[in-house]
Amino acid sequence: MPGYLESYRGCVLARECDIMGHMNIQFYTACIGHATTTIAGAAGLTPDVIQTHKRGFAAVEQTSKYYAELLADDIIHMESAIVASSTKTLTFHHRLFNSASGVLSFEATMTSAYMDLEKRKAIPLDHFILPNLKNLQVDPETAQ
Amino acid sequence: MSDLLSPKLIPGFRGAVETWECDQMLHMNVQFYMSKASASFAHLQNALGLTPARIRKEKKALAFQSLRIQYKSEMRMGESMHGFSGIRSVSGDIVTGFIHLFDSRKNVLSGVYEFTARYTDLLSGEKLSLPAHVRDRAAAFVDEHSDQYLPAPMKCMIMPATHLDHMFETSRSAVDVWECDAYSNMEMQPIVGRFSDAAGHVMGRVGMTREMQKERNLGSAALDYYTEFHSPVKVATSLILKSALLDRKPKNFIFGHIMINADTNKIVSNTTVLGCYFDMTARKSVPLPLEYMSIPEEQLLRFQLA
Repeated sequence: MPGYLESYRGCVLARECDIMGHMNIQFYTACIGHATTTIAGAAGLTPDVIQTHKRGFAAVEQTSKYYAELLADDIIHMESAIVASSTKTLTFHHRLFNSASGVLSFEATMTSAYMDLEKRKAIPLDHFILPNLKNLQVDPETAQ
Repeated sequence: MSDLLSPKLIPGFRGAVETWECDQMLHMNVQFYMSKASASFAHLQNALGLTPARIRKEKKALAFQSLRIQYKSEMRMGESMHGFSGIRSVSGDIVTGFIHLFDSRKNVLSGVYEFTARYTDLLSGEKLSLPAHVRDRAAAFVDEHSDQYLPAPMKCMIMPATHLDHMFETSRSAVDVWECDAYSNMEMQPIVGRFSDAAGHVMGRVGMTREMQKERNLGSAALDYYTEFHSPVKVATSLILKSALLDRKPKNFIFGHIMINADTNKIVSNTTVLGCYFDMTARKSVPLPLEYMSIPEEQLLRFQLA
């Protein structure tokens, strides 16, 4: 069934917290990094495929919203889905939750270009990616 | 959102192997398995009622007393991992459980952590009785989990928490702030990292330098750990590791380590590590280098423990 998949699960380390006493914004993006590996793998872009076919994604646009701060030791998980696609891009929606409270802490919409890693250029999505996308797509309206 | 088959299993870490988590053996270093297992342990504690908010308020949580770790398949950069944990028993104040980490793409078990844990004051390190609310929650999760992998006892002598002849210094350091949790206790990841770093020194003492490994196209890998923790390690503590070759087998080396608080000279943890050499191209284990066999029997720690 199409929908969000769990793409990251972890916890907030003390060293990830800043002088404000909460997780610094750079580590929210680290969660997206983990999540992107998970959802890209589900789309067929596994490390083997990356090495063999020299394909990958590069982020080109990101919109983020922070709803609730995360403190040291908080347990967290992220869910991700695809909300849009074009010939050369996929747009991912990532939602980060406080796992103990269930409260949405952060969400980000990220558009990534599909790349030829040798030519370092955006290229159309490959045939081995396209069939996998439908199981990862959600209606953009439900993603808000 | 979980694909767990049993409601008594608790979802744990999910994410990727970062490039910077991989060492010169071209696989994820043991300390980063540990950081992923620690994340799983935080989720396990939450399931037992030890929520992050409660831990912050009461400053008490479960802390490992012993850890048996097995590395069953190597993880390479960019791979995806996921895991779960479970409680096998609660006996007295000891909680016994496990954490499993999988290679998600191959669906192969990669990291295994069998633990005993005690409820502990995170500031003083004092061992406490298990609170009734945690005991009740844990009881709901207790299961032998007979369908889940359970390691057999280690097939070697275990390094005790004691100073032995022929042990030599393999690490000397202080515990940095960024290696600690919110209660100034050293995290598990850098503890395992210290043991990992010490391995090269033991190999060098045996006569196998990094250069020789490179010339022979050999890598080395830990396969099996057993660690006992005797007291928390606080920020700024001066630490010394002493290590030696505990034993040798046709395809395995066994190292013994003790971690010492240099200010008090007390042993804070002791570890037994069984590992192997492998061909860096074939990624298959090979017989132990002959240098190990030239070590006199009486210099093996086993000789003193017999």
